[in-house]
Amino acid sequence: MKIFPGILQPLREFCDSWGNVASVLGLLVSLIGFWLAIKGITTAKRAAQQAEAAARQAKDRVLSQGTLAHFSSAIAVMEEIIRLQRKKEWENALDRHSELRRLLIELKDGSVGLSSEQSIIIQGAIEQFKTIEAQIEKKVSSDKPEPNAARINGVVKEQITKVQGIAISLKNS
Amino acid sequence: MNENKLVELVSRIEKKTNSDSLTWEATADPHEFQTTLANFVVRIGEQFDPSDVDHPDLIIRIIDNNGNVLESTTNTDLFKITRDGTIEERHPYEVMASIFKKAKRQALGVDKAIDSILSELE
Repeated sequence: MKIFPGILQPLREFCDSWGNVASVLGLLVSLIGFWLAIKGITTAKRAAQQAEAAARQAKDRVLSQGTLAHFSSAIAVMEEIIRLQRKKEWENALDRHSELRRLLIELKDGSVGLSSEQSIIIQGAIEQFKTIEAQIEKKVSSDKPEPNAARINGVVKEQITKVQGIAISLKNS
Repeated sequence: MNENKLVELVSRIEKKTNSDSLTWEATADPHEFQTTLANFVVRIGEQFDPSDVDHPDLIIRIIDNNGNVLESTTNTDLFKITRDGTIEERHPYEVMASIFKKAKRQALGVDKAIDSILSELE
């Protein structure tokens, strides 16, 4: 055991002179490791967020294409209503009115990116069509005088312009 | 709705209508006109009384985004709920009639037509 002081002494001297350097290097390595770990987490989080945003955009795009298709259908039905009312085919017009009401409610409640202002414009159109429908219903069910086709078609044309305006603004947004 | 608020609402609708801040449109019923205000559809129309056909009441209806009629009031209702029977010293019928007349002129484009005729005559 007496030989150990002979080995320990140079070892102690070595540690005294290099120990602090090793500690500092160790700290540096730890900091670099910590920074790399944080960077890795941030990158992974950003990638996850980007993937989520891309998925959301893709979903919105599909939904918005569906919305635009609904707008086109609603406008086509309104144009058909004009033709039927012009020819005074009131019963057929009533059927189309029911379909239109369903389409407009779907547009109002299920459209992607519709503002509250646009939503109330569609509700306004629904109210307009309710009045037309009531007039046709009176004619069909109780043989009341015919509605004024020119007047009600004027109202339908105004609603087409409004609905088309909303569709265009959604398409461009 | 608080009755005073109803009176205030009618008064403001008249002011907004007179300043052309509201866009009234015709409906399929020639006695009714419609506009949108905030998130509501507002309608003004004549309400015929079989016992007095020549003097229809005027009715304002407020409809929400789901098609529910939230409130409806006539000039007769307003006469009853106002303390002195007036809206800013005017008879409620006069106020409602002013809204109806202006809404009709705007919806049917009467003012634009007259302006156009006047410019032709210049």
